[in-house]
Amino acid sequence: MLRRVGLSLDEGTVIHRLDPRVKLFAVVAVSVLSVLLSSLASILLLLALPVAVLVAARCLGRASILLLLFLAFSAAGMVVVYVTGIMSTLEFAKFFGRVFSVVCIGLAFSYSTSPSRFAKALEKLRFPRSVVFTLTLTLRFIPVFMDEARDLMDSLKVRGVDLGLKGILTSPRMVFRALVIPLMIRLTKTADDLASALEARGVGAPVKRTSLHELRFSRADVLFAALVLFSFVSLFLLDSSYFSWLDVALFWRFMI
Amino acid sequence: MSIVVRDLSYRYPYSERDVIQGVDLRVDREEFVLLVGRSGCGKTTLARCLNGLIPHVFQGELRGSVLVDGVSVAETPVYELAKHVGMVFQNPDTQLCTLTVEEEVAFGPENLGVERGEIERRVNWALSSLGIQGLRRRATFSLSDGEKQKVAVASALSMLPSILVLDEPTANLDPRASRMLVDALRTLRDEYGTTIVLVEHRVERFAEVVDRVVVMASGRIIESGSPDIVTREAEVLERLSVQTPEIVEVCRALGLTSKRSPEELRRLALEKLARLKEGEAKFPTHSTERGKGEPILEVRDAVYDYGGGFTLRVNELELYRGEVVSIVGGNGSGKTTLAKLLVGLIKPKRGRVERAKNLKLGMVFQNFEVQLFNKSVFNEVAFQLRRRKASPEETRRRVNKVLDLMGLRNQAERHPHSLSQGEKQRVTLASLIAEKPDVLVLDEPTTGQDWYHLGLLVDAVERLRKRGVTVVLITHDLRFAARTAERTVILNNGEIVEVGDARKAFYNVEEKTGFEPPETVKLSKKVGLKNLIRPEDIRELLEAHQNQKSPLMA
Repeated sequence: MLRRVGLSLDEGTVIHRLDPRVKLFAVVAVSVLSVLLSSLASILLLLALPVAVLVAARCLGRASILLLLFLAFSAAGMVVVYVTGIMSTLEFAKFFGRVFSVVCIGLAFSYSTSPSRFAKALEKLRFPRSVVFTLTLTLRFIPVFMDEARDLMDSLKVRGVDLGLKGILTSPRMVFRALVIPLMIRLTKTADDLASALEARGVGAPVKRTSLHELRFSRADVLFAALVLFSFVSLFLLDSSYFSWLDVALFWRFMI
Repeated sequence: MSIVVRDLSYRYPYSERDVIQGVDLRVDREEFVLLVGRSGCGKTTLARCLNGLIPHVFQGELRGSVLVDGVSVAETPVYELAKHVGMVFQNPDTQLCTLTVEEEVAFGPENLGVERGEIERRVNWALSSLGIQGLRRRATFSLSDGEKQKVAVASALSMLPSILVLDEPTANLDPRASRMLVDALRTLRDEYGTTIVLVEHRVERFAEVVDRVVVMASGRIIESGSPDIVTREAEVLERLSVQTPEIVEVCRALGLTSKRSPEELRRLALEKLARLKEGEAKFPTHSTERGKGEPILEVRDAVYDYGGGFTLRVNELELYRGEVVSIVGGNGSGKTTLAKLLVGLIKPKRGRVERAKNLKLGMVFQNFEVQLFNKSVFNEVAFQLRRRKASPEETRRRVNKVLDLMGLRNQAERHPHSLSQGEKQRVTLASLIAEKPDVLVLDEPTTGQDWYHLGLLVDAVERLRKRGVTVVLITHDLRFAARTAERTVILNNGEIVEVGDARKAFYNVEEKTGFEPPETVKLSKKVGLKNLIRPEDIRELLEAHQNQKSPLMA
């Protein structure tokens, strides 16, 4: 279920074991660069980093459907741009490259970071505890509520409540009541139960919370951060000096 | 003394009566106590008083005192009490609040600010004392209900309480999983000296492992004594709607006194049954194989994939008019999926489900309260009739008839959600019966129902059957299934492993599912008798025997 939401639960590769804070750094760096860079050649080079991370995290397969869809969409866009001439194809290619690199690094992050480590990282980054815990609880209860919702719909169908478009159009009040009343009852009950359970587990104790697994930067984290930083700086410098010339040399035909 | 409750009374906010009244209870260190009583008797409230949820979370009026480990509950905050009393609740889903098992078990100590190395030690200990080290890295949502409850126990244990209070922890578990949980609790008591208070409305299976049984009724403690009281005082307990152990019913059927311990009763019953067997008692051939006629619903080679690698396969299954069929199997065996397939909520991926023309189907869900959304019980039952524009007189007549049938006439004007669980279930049933269904499916109807309500349910099923309704009971409560069903389908891992006459099927249930069969089956199997699945069968056998004027029965 959580997989469908796009969050990883296993810790398979080096990328999975990286500190989520370092990975967040990479996400930020790639996003910033995708905006800063101006030449197509450097944007294409930038793409290499997120793709490499995806490959290293062995997530390329899982990401492939999404990425292929994105590629197909871009190819179609390119055809439209070429035929209609509404903008330069070079500019469109750049736009595509920017978005693609952000999508890739985003996927790499979400596929390789377990929600609990993500929550710990947020806590370390001084996000308020209440916010982080709410996030954890939400993720924990997504599968529970999916089941509840399915049960609710099924049980109403059995009682002859038409939950389809026709039912909603012909008797909106009834459908609304049939859905809302049971839902409120269940939610209140769940909230009550959960509140009791949380109290019984010492939530709200006026002491500084500790953690079984404290996040610490490892050597791999430092190396990864250094790699990201190096790419960031060198791409930025190359982009502003050499790459615009490279663009002219390679893509002059597409420039208008 | 581990727990000392003195003259305790409590009233919930906005309530007019005390839920518990003048309760005195003492629990010794390392004692394993079973607290039983019908639903609404105040046992859950008492449990909440032990760990401080009352009065710290639930407001209301509290009189009297509770001391746990010498600490006064009313004057100690809940997080502090959590170090003395661990609490496990009924619903496996709403008490786990993190994403992995390890985090879950570490959660309590983390909140208390325990130092890291110590948390590590506690997590290791809590997991290993329940034998679930293997689950450590698993995601909480991927666990089975039985595993979830064990994790809940481990999470309470990691706060190192000397007392564990469990409120109906096995309500959602199948017999195998509940047995495993209860065994784990017993081990905790024996090896680590944990004091345990187990709140339940059932006594069977539990009375055998505890040191003492405490019986509550109407907010008071009525009885307290050795586990033997569940058989010795069975009559008293039955009047209080506490479950009667089946061995008591067996002995009554055999004409034996039940005022003895369960072991003695078992020995006596076995002796008498063995004599019956030697006397070559003939069991009256039952007319279970009635003229069945055409099936009204047929499933052929149906396959349904319900995610997570589970597949339901049904090669052949028929339902006939006016029969009671039970579908038994453990958690995750595919029972509910099969039910939905029968009712048509899901379509098989391959194969087919054929229904007779104009067949009306109804289903009462396990979470039946989500099926109620009208303002009064009357409206709830009248819902469909009104939608079909039945005349007011016709509606009134039919609704009243159904309410009478289900014994709900006096509640007609109440709001459905203000009723007790047992009543809500009957309202749901009534709302479906008003439609005159041909097939009615009940999904785990026994969950959370005490002995009294169970009796009403059994009656209702019988009345429906007499009216020609086919009733399908999805259950893991084998005793209930044996009491009601003529035919049984046993499911295991998504496959039908046995289908047929309940009298035969119940003799194979142990091999097929690993569930402990009902007492009657166990005893008669031991002496080599057949076809006896409920105490009434034994009575019939005995009567038939007496009619043959056997010298044995002198």
